[in-house]
Amino acid sequence: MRRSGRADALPGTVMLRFVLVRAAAFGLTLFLVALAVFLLLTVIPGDAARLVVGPEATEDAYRTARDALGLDRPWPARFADWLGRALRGDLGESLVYRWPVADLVARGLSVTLPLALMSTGLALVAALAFGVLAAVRLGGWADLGVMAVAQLGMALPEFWLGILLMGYFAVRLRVLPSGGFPGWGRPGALAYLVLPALALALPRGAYLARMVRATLADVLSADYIRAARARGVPERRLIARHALRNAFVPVLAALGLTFGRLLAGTLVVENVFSLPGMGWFALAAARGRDLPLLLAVAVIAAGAVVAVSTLADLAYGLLDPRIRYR
Amino acid sequence: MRHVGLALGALLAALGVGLVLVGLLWLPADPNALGRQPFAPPSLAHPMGTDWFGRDVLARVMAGGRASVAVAAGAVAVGGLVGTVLGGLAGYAGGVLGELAMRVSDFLLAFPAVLLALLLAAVLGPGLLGVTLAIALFQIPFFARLAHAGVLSLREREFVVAAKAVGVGNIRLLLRHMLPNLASPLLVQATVSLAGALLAEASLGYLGLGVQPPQPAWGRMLREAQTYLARSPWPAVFPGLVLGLTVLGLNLLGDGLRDLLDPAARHLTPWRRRAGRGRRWAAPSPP
Repeated sequence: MRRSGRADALPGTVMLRFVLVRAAAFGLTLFLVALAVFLLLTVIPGDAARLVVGPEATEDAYRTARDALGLDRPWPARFADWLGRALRGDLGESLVYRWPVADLVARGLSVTLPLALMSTGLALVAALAFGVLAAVRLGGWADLGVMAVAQLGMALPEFWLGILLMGYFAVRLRVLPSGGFPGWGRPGALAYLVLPALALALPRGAYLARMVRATLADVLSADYIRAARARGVPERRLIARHALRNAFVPVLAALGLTFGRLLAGTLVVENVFSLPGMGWFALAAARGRDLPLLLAVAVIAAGAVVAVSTLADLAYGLLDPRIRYR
Repeated sequence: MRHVGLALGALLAALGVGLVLVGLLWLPADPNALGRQPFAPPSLAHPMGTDWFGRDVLARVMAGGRASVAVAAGAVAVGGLVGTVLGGLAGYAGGVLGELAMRVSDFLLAFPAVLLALLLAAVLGPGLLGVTLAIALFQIPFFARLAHAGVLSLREREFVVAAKAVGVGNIRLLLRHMLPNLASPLLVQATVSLAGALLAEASLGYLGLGVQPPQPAWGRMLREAQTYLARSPWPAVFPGLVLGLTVLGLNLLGDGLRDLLDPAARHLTPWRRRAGRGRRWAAPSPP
């Protein structure tokens, strides 16, 4: 909590420098992720050209494919090549699907993004409701109950939860689809995301609920809350307006990170429900050693994490004026 | 009432890990023997029922846990050792080198764990080595941060300065004077890490990485059971339940150990009304 900021520099300038530094760090991280994945996959024993032409291909066909993929050039040249094209929006062609990577990734995101949004939303609503309840009744039975369920929620494997939800709601009751995705625009497409979103929301909601409870309990013991209570501010308003606003700042950062991690974190659950999202493509790409597709998925997933943590830092300053940017 | 979490955690963790350890010496049935009635619900003869081939699920859970526990323990040991050494050296050396080591660990944290495991599996093959290395790699930053912060704060303490003044060498200073003071937080982190590593191993097993058939493994048992959900949910219930309760036990054990070993961390346990101010030590890693 630096007090200088406003006094010794114009807020605008400080803010601009902060944004520029963060943008540079963002770019550097994406570059390093791409480089790491590229290096990791170029040391693979098998080679991509053999994969493309298949085991029965003639030596000529193999050499043609090898030339087409540019595999005889040293790796820095190939990486520079990929980087140059990626910057112009051309992510290459997937070796497994024989289809433009950019298009596959766009399709994957059209499933994964709504799924991540839905489960983050569910997790936030549950975390606020139960976290506030626990913090208000700190030490009571409600608190103990909420914390016990939260501990359980963080420990149970989410893909197992997905299987059980599928077994009950899709196989037994037949009220929701058991997997797959018909594509947006078909009626009832959203129903295909409900069970996976629930399975993903439980551990995340449990984590956030613990956080809401801890920060809110901390804020509620502060002097300004006691002062407000002494002034006769009604308890409901006290919690909603005075306490929650301050408690929400660290929760927001955790929420952002949760969402960012979900772009890769849906991987196992997507495969439980056969959802054609980013995780589905990532698994297929890893099985087929599909370098272009894996590169794109890894860069996007890591980029999401860095992007949201940057955004959360910015939001910090907006929600809490005491924090100034260095 | 104070140590109820610790006791419950120790009990659950001991039950889960104990089931696997007992399974090394004795199994209630041959985990691969076929021919019993398939899809039998839980009974005295088969406490967890039988699966689609009529195999005893309890025996398969006990045998399947071997790989899970071994991979998780191995990954935490390797990741903990490397992370502690890196973080400790970074804190001790300080300067550009220390800063660089910590940035690398931040970078690792930003990289999605499952994706990293998939990449390593693509390079090293789907066997145990890739899975163990991937989980170990993801543990490094947690231990590195802990050791880094610990060594940084210990470096200026009087007993360290005094030891240095009487001519204690660098390595001895780190190992004999600083490490014992870091043992408690590292132990707590190891407990919580073990829980996370078990979950990660099962997730990867579900995706087909790790132990290969016909050896049973928790994650893959769940994948196979999913195919037969319409016939019977029982084979899908028990492997996940044993895994979940073991993880819960380890998490509770970690929380309880922290409270026990570090009274200064006035941690928010439900039965204590006093609110604490943040936690210095490990919490279960965010999902």
